[in-house]
Amino acid sequence: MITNMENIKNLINNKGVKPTFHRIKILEYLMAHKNHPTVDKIYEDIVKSIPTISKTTLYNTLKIFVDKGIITELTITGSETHYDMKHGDHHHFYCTQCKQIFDVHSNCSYDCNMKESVDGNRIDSYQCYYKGICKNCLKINVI
Amino acid sequence: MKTKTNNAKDILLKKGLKPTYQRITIYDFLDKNRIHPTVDKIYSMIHQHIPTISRTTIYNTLDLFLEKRLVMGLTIGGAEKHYDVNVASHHHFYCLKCRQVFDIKINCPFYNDKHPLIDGNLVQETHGYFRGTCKTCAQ
Repeated sequence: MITNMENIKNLINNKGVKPTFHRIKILEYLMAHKNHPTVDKIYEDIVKSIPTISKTTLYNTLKIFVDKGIITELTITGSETHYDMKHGDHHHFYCTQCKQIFDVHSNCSYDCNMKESVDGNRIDSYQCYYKGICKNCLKINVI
Repeated sequence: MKTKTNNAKDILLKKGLKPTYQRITIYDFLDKNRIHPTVDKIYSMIHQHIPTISRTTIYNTLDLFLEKRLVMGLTIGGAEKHYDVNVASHHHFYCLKCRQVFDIKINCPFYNDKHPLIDGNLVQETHGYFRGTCKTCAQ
């Protein structure tokens, strides 16, 4: 348990960010919850263990993590931003029926080795996602 | 001009939408100006032609167009949706300096017209977003 805390602390430290208690806790949460939570969901869960945390701290922390490339933000739904740990490259699928977001793997060359530019334009970040109906909802529709 | 309007009218009718003057004007604007505008941009341009139009009408019309797949809503900028009348799958580049959105040609193996399924899930839309600095701003 202690080593886990240490690891997270080092990860934050290595990115040049001061590893405060709140930051460590937020990153620990994101590492444990890979279901692409929104700010509201993160806040709702974190406030249970840290009742004094403010939404502003959460917003600021997430922004720092995004800027430093520790996490990525997904703007799939258009209304709310979802957050995801940077864990390898993958695409996302958003089911328009059950509103779930999950990882899918496509053989995209931009995914695997993260090219630096496209058509002469310099790439800073990249996100690709599919919208449609997931296999579980497809089954329900058939029945 | 006449033929364009007729086109827009036919497209709306084909999707089962009542071709009101406002809807035709909004669709026509999107069709002729493929600049991936935001609601604000659309409103400011349409307002010059129809001074009585409300923002609500624009929002409702765009929501209706999205529902009927007449337009794509791009969430590339994060905060605001950009609208694109080209509903065929293609990728976009968003320049963080000049805030322009433009098309990028990528051969994605999962464009829905070729492979409608990915891991058993039915693909209806493909969105590929690159963010960075465009070549004009990099100079």
